[in-house]
Amino acid sequence: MSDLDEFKATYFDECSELLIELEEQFVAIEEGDKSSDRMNAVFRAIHSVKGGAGAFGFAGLVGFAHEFETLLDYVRNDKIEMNEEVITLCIRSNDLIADFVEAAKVGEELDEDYGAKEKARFISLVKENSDGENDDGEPMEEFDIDFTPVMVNVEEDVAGATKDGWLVKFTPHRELYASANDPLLLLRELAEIGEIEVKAVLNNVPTLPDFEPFGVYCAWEISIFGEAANEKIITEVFEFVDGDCDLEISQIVAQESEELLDEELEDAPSFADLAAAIPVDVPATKKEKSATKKADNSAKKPAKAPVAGVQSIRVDLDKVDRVVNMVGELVITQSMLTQQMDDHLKHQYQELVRGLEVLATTTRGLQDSVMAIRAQPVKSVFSRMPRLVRELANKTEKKIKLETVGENTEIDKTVIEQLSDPLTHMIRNSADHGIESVETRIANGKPETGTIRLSAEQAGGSILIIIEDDGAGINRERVLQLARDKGVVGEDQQLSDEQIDNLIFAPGFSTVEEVSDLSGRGVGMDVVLSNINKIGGSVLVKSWPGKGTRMTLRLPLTLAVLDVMLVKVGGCPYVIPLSSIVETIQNSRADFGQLPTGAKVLQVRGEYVHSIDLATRFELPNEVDNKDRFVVLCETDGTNKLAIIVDSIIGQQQVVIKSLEENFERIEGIAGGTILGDGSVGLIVDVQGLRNDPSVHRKANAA
Amino acid sequence: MRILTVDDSRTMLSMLQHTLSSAGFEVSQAEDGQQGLDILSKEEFDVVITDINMPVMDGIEFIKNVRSSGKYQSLPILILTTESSREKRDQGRAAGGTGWIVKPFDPEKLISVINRVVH
Amino acid sequence: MEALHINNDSNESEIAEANSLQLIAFSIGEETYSVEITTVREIRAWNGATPLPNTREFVRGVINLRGTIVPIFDLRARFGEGQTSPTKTHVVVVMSVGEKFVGILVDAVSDILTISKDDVHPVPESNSSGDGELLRGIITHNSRMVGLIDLQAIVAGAKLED
Repeated sequence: MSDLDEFKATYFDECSELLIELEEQFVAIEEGDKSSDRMNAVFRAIHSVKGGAGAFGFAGLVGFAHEFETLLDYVRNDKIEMNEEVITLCIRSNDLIADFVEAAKVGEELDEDYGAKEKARFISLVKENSDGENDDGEPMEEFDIDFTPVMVNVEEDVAGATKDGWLVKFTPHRELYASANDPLLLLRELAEIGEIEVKAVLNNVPTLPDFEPFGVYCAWEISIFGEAANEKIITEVFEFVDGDCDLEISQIVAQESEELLDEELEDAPSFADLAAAIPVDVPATKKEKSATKKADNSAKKPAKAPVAGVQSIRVDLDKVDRVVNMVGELVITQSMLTQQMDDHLKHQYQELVRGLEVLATTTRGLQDSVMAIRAQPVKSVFSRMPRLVRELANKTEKKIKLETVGENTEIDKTVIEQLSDPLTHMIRNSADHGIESVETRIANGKPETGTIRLSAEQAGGSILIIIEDDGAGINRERVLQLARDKGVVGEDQQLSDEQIDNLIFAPGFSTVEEVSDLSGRGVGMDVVLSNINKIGGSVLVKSWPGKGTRMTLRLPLTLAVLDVMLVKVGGCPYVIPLSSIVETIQNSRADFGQLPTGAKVLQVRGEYVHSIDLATRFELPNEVDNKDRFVVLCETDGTNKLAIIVDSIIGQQQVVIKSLEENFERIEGIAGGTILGDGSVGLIVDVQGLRNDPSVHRKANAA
Repeated sequence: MRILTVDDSRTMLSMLQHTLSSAGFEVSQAEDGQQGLDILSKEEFDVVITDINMPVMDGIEFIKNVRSSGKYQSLPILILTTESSREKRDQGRAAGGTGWIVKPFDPEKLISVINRVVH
Repeated sequence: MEALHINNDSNESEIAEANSLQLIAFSIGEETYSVEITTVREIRAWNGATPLPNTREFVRGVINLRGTIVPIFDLRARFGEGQTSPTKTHVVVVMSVGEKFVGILVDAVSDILTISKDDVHPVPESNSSGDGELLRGIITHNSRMVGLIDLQAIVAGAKLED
C-alpha cells in the first residue's frame, strides 16, 4: 500500500469513528442535552472530516463539510440556536456526510447537487445570523507600510555605483520575542532574498543600570539588494510577526539613504561603550542567552521519558488474527496431548497428567484473553441502525422509532462483521412487515409511532441480540399457507404456533408475493439464518399477533474455539457443540414413540422430543447395532429439543472451528468443520439446522 | 531535531509524522493540549506544531499554558490553521504562537516554515 | 511421496512466449488429463478424507490442508467411471479455482507438458458420456490424447440437490 493509500485508510477509519460519535452526540442533543461540550465536539468532528477531505482533494465532501462546519461554529458560539429545525437539518446532514465519505472511499462521484438543499440552508442560516463579520474569503491583510514612492531619475548618472534596493526598518516589540520569534532568523531570511547590509539601531539602548534583561531595545535597518528583492517578498518574511513590530519598507534611492544611515549610526552609543561603563557581571542578554541555550541543547542528551496517559494502542488486526490462530492451534495440540493419555499412562505418569491439566487451564485462560482483545462493543454495528430506520420510515411512510440497549456489550470482531447484514435484514423485516401504517396503528389503539427495540446482552456462554417490534406480529395463516404451497410443509402437517413462526427461515421462503424493494431483493430470511449458523449462532422467532414480533439471535462469545462432544456416525467423526447437549441416553434405554404424523419422537420426562437418525439423515451406513447406539439429547434456545441418534460417543474435546464454505459450500445439517486431534477433519453438527429440518417432521425416520 | 505534534485527528498526526520523519525529524505526538503539556514537561523539543480545535485543551489554551510557564520562551510553536479561520490564527498568535501552517499542508511548505522559525 | 509444493512464480518467469502453456498431466486408468500448472498449489499423497453427507458420489470428502478444510473430488467418479479405491500411492492435486482451493483425486501424476495454445483443440460434440462438458479442450501429445480440464465444471453441482 502506498503511503497515500495508508493515510487515506487511516482517514476513512477515523471518519467512521467520527460519524459514530456524531450520531451519538446528535441523539443526545435531540433529547435536550445541548451542553457546549457537545456542540464543540460535533464541530470538531466535522472540522476533522473536512480537514482530511481537503488533504486528499475530496471536493464534494469538502464543499459540503465546510458549510456544515461553519454552521456548527455559529451554533457553538451561540450565534444560531439549536432548535428543532436545525437539529433535524444536522442529523440529515450527518447522513449526507456519511454518503460523501462512502463515495470518496469507493472513488465515486455523487451528483453535483447532492445535499444542495441542506447546503443552501446552512449558508442561509449563517447569513441570517451573522453580525456583519464573515471569515470566509477574506483576502490576506496587507501590511501597513509607510510607503512613500520616490522618484528615481533613471537618466541621471550619479557618480559612484548606484544600487537599487530596499530599505527595511525593523523594530521588534516585546511580543515578538514572547512568541519565540527571533530577529536573527528574520534577518537570515532576508539574506536569502538578496545581498543585505545590516545596521543595528541602538539609540534606545539604555545604560546598563537601566538595562532590563527582557527589555526590548534593539532595532535594525536592513538594506537588501538584488533582483529578487521586492516589497511583497520582503513583507512575507515578516508575516508571522505582523503587529508585533514596527516595519517600514521603502525603496532605496542610492546615496541618499546611505547618508541617512551613517548619520543615525554616529548618534548611537556603541555597545562596547555601554559594556565598558560597568565593571560588574552583565546579566546575559537575550542573544547570549540563546547562545548558551543552544550549547546546552547539544550537550544534553534528552532523556527518553515514557509518555504518560496512553491507555490504548492501535494494533493491526492481522497481528491479532495471527495470535488468535496460534492460540487456536495451541488448543488443538493441548487437546491432542490429553487425548493420547489412556488410563494406563494416566496412572503411570500422574505428574504428567497434572501438568497437562494445568496446561489445559492455562490455555483456556490464554484463549479467553486473546478473544477479549478482539472483542469490540456492538456499538459499531448498532450505530448504523438509526439511520437505516429513518430511511425505512421515510420510504414506507410509517412512523418508526429505534431504541437501542446494551451497545457496549462486547463481541468478537469477526462476529460483529458478520452481524451487520443479518441485523439490517431483520430490522428491514420489522419495518416492512411488522410495523403497521400510521392509520392502522391508530385504528388499533396503538401509538402512531412504532418502536423497534434492538438490544444486546451476554447470557451464559452466548451473546443475545434481540430485535423486537410492537407491530402486527407474524401472519400465521398466510405463512402456513405459503409454506404448504411451496411444499415446505406437508398438507396435513400440524405445526405449533412457534414452528409456524420459524418457518420464515425456511429456504426459499418469502412472505411477500412481490419482492419488496426493501427486504426482498431475492434474499430471504433463510440467508440470514444460514449466515448466523455459519458463525455458530442461532435465531429464534416469537410472535404475538397484533402485538409484535421478537427475533432472538444467539451468538457464540468466541468464534474460534468450541467445546464439543466427539461422536461417530457411520464410521465418520462428527462433533456436537457441548453447549447444545442436555444429556446422552443409551438407545436401548430410550423410549421412542411415533406421532400421528409418523414422525419419530423420544419420550423423556413427560416431553415429546423430535428425533433424527444421523446415519439416515447423512446417508451413512449403519455400522453399529441399534441397541448399542446412543441418543444425544440436544437443546437449542432453551425450549426446542432434538434427539440425535449416533453410533458411538468418543468423548469431549475442544476444537477450533474451521469454515466449510471457504473452499466448498454450505451443507444442510453441518455447521462447519474442525480439525481433530489426529489431524483429520471432523464435521460439526448443526443442531439448530437439523431441528428446523423438515425431514424431522416427516415420516422419513423409520426406526 | 525533535518536534512535537499536537492534533486530535490521527490522520493529520500520521501525515505530519510521515513528512517530518522523512525530513529527518524525531516526531512525538499528542492528541490534545493537555497531553502536549505532559509530554513537553518530560522531553525536550526544538519546535512544536499544534492544531487549534482539540478536546480537553484546545490549541489556544495550550499555547498560553506553554508560554506562561516561563520555561519555553524561545520554543517556536507553529499553529495548524485552515484558510478561512483568520480569527483563530490571530488568537493563536496573540496567545504566543510563533507562526502558522495552513492545512491541508504542502509537505515542502511545512518544512520550509519550520526552517524559518528554528535555528 | 512427500507433499510437493509448486513454486509458480519461477515457472511463470520461464514462460517466455505468451502463446505457450505449461500443463501438469495426470492419469485416471488409461486416460490422461491435465490442468494449467498455474492453478496447481500442491501435490500430496492420498491420506484419507472425511466424507461429506448429502453430496454427490464424486465428492470424496474433505481434508485438512495446514489448518484449512479443502474438499476432494474423485476425478474418476466425476467422469462417471466409478469410484476410486484410493491407496497411499494415489495422489491429490490441490488447485485454486477462483478464490477457493479444491483437491482432485487422481491415480498418478505423469509429467509436465509445455504446449502452445494452438495445440488445444475443441472437444468434439458427439461425446455421449458427458465428458465434453468437463473439458476445456483436447491436446495431442506424443500421439496421446490429453484432456484439458475445466475446473469450474468439475467442482460444480457437488451438492445433492433436488
